[in-house]
Amino acid sequence: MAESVVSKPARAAAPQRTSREKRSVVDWLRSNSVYIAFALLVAFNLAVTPGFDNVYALRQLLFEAAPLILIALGQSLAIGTRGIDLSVGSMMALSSSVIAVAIGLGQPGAIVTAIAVTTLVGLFNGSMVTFLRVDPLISGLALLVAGRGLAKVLLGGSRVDLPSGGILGWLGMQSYFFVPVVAIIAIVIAVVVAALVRGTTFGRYTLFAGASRSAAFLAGTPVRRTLLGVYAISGLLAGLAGVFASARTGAADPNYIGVLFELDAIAAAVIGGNPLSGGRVSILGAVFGALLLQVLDATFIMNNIDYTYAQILKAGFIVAALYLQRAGH
Amino acid sequence: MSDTATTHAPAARDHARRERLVALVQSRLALAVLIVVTLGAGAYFPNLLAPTNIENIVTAASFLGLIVLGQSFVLIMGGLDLSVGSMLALGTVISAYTLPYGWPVALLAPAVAGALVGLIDGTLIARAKMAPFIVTLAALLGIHGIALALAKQSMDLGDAGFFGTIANGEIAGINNMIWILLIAFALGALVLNRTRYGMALFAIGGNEDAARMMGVRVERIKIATYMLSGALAGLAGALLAARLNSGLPTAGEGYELQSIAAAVVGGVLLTGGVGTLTGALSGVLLLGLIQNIINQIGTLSASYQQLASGAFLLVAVIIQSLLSHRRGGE
Amino acid sequence: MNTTSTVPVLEARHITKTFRGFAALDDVSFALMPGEVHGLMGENGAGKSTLIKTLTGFHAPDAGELRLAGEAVTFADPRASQNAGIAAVYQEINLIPERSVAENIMLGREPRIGGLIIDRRRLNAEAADLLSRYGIHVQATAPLKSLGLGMQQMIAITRAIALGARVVILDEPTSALSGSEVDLLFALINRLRDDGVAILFVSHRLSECYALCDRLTVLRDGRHVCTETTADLPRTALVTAMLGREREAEAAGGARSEARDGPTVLATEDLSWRDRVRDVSLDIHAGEVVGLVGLLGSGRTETFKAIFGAERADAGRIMLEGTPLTRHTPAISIGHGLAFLPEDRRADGIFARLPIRENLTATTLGSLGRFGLVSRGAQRQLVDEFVEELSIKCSGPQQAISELSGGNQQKVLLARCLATRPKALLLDDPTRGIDVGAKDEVHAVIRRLAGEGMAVLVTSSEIDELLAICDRLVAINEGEIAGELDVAGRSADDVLHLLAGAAEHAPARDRA
Repeated sequence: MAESVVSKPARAAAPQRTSREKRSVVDWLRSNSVYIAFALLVAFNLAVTPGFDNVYALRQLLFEAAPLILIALGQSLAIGTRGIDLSVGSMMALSSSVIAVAIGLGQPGAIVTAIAVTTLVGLFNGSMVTFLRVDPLISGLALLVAGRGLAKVLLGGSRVDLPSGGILGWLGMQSYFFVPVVAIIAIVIAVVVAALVRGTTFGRYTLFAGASRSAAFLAGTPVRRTLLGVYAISGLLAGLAGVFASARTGAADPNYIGVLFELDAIAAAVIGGNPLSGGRVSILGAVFGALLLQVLDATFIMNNIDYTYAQILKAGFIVAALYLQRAGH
Repeated sequence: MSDTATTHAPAARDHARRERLVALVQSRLALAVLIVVTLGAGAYFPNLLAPTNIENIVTAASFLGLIVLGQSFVLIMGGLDLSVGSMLALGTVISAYTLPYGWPVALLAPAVAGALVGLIDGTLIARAKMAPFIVTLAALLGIHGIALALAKQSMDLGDAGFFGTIANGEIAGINNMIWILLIAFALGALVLNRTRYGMALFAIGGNEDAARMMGVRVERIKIATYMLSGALAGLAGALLAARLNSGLPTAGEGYELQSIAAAVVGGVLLTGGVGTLTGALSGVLLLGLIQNIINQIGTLSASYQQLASGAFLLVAVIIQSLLSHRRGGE
Repeated sequence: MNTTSTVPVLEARHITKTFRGFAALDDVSFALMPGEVHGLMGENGAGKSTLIKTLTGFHAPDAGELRLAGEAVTFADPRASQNAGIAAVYQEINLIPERSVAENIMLGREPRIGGLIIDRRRLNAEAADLLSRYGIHVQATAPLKSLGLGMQQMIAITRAIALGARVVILDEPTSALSGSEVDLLFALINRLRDDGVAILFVSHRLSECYALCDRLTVLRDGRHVCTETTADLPRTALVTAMLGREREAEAAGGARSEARDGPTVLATEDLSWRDRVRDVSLDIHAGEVVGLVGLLGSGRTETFKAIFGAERADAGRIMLEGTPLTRHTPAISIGHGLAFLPEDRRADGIFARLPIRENLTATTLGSLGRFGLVSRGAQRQLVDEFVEELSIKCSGPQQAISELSGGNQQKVLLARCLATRPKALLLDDPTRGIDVGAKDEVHAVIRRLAGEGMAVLVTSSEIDELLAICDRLVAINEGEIAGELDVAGRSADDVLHLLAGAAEHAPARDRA
């Protein structure tokens, strides 16, 4: 209804046009902020950071970015439905522990089992959101605690080394043309998810559910099925991210794998143009959001900024970035 | 009209009775479970109910307890504070740094620091309208960094003198920490239930827009409450430093979630507007008891503690959701 | 009217309020006297809610002034209006459901010991005192949520009065209340009137307004139509004032009485939902446009939602071409060939951030490709087809729907309905809030669809519109079918009489 929009009294025509032009520039900057920030940060590093242009450094960066890209993808879908998935970090740890427990099945069997488990937990998360109508923030919080607890319990709270060869070794070490195989897989999955969002009914339903629940319901959108699917996918991707992280570490380590990754995943998604208010999904943005955070980490490390100060700076950066994104909506 | 009044009366009375039952279940469930678990486990582990063991359980739970007190205030207001665990760690470190200036400084400086963190969190949440979980999660990260920047590893307090006595001494044969916990909760209950500030907390958590229309200064109260939560976490840190005679930059890991679990198990609604401090205290003690039982079993690692609190939180959330939808007249 | 003073307690003078070039209020003047109950009447878009928001400080008027007890005032925000003694009680109660009645009444003014600790006994006693003064029989310590909606409203009114309100605005207070609750509310209102409080009463139930109000003010299309003492405004005149009849000449354009000869497409039998839809039976034939005519709050929207499965009917049958629809959801209804255009375009219709393409194809995605894939080509073709057919003015299928005018947004939603090739179409106020040109286009589309054999059930706040597009009108009042008439050869007066009569002869509501 017209009543709900308060507009300012009409101004003279000329200043209005310039203000509109100014606004469109601001809009452009805002909607492309993640790419601009990424380019600026890379340029800064090329100029200032010693050894940043080294391919080995780049490779290391991509190894570490791969898991974050995966969970940022799942997070983007959840946020697109105006939800959130806080369990992703713990699901990475759970996946890691399940690999260690199920390693007797052989590496492929263990990996499949691990991903199946986190997918089921994601489905459970989705069920709480759809059928019990628990706030996704709250169900995710409960699974965050319980998931890491379970991950620790499975391994008695300690780190367990994983076999060095096989698929895990391949995932953890192998690169082609200096691009780690995990990064290739992550990019391929990002393309698949982007295709899912852009080219399938499921992708549309995700957007509808986030844009307006009641309009989606009246348009016959299968909202429940969509939400279940979104949280299951998020669980699946977090499971795979856990596999990547374990392969890189060479161990299942429930105390460290995925800790605070939920914050990075949310930050990557939101910075990449997936507003918390839902109804918009940008997969490319989420990928660059993840890369941006990873380059930020690398910047701190390669400039020998102490890990502790790096944490403080990163916290400040995330709050500032989310504050600016929030101002846009 | 009198006709309709009489025909409606039994239904209304039934409705009211059911409401009261639900409210009772919500606020006293943790206490009931606490008693049942205590008695049941007491039969298997005779040591469990020994007075010294009980004192140990409560003393060990008292630090989390102070955090839960602040967290309950925040949750009742409809917010969330994930920064409390790392604030506790920072508190221990600040105590270690400030002890040379005397015990009052070592006790209060962490609380002041916590209030400052709360001021920043609260301002971003109340004025900039950012989501509490994002702001306080980032604060968790930042505070953790500050604590580690100040102290790479644990700092020995040396001869702490009276400062150590605050957390280790006894009054009437009972550890000071237990007194502190009980007094804090008693004061908290008084503030929550018998002051205009407490009423405003419930009002904001129950219906923020309505509270604003009813003249509650929502923004100010939000900021004050995050400050209170931060201050209590800092104070808990100071007391932990006094208790363990050291500054511990990695202490309190997971406390942010345990504190939420304890409060929610104790019947504080994550959606805000509902909660009692007796419930929250029962939740704290229940988690402490379970930790102790896990230790008694011996074969179980400490990780079970986290699994247990996660499972409790999960069950509590599901029960609360079922209860509230039942009441929604669905 | 027992006014003793001639100075209005609250007066609006020549208020104009424009939103995006659309005048929600146009030079409206209106005065509220102390000790009167003043009814504010009007259909959708008449400007009632804008006027209320102006009086309560949510909106600042573009032109005109407010006067409080003869003095010009401006309200910076709702709190300023509240402090000046103007209280508004909405259907959605602005209280704290989890807290007690006493705490709700006394919040912010709790009696304290030593200026710090709340004295609970005095708090409860003072609240109980207030409650008994206004004849409200509830326990002060009962949680607010344990009370019925009507009682909660009375608590909100009590709080307002305790804070010194001299003007109480009641916005559709009775629309969700049971009969006995309405009686109690009216008793309270009468008591307040005797105390000299001015009450602005907004309701869609004419019988209530006649029972309660001293004077009535009617708004239409943002303009003040009339203010009369209730006794001087007969129902027919009131309904005429609310609905207007400016475009009477064009009425009854396409109506054909033979439309009923086609086979029945959509039928309901004794359809009921809560107490808002009661035993509604309808038959809509192929090629027929049936208008469900009723005032706002008459149950017309709820009837649409129950048929479409957006609300689950409690009783009755719905048949679509002989297939029964039971326990159906919107998705199932769409699958069976039913389409629904909701009344509230913003909340229930559009996906604001998404492009026209996605908005238009939302209901047909499954058929626009295989294996869950959506064919861009097929989507594009469908969009082009409807942009052409309904002459939707847009820069292209990629344009965000929120950038379109209301009329074009509505056409996109209409296209969304038609894209499923439905057998029957449910249109809930399809021209609400759109400009005259778009209105005429929508009318033409509806007539053309009927000509092609579609069964259409439509409702509107404008009689003329219904006369222009319908073959037959069914009047609904308080959830019940109250009469029926063929449009051919009828004038707006006949419909107004039908409606006014329906309101007149409405059965006394007994909702046990």
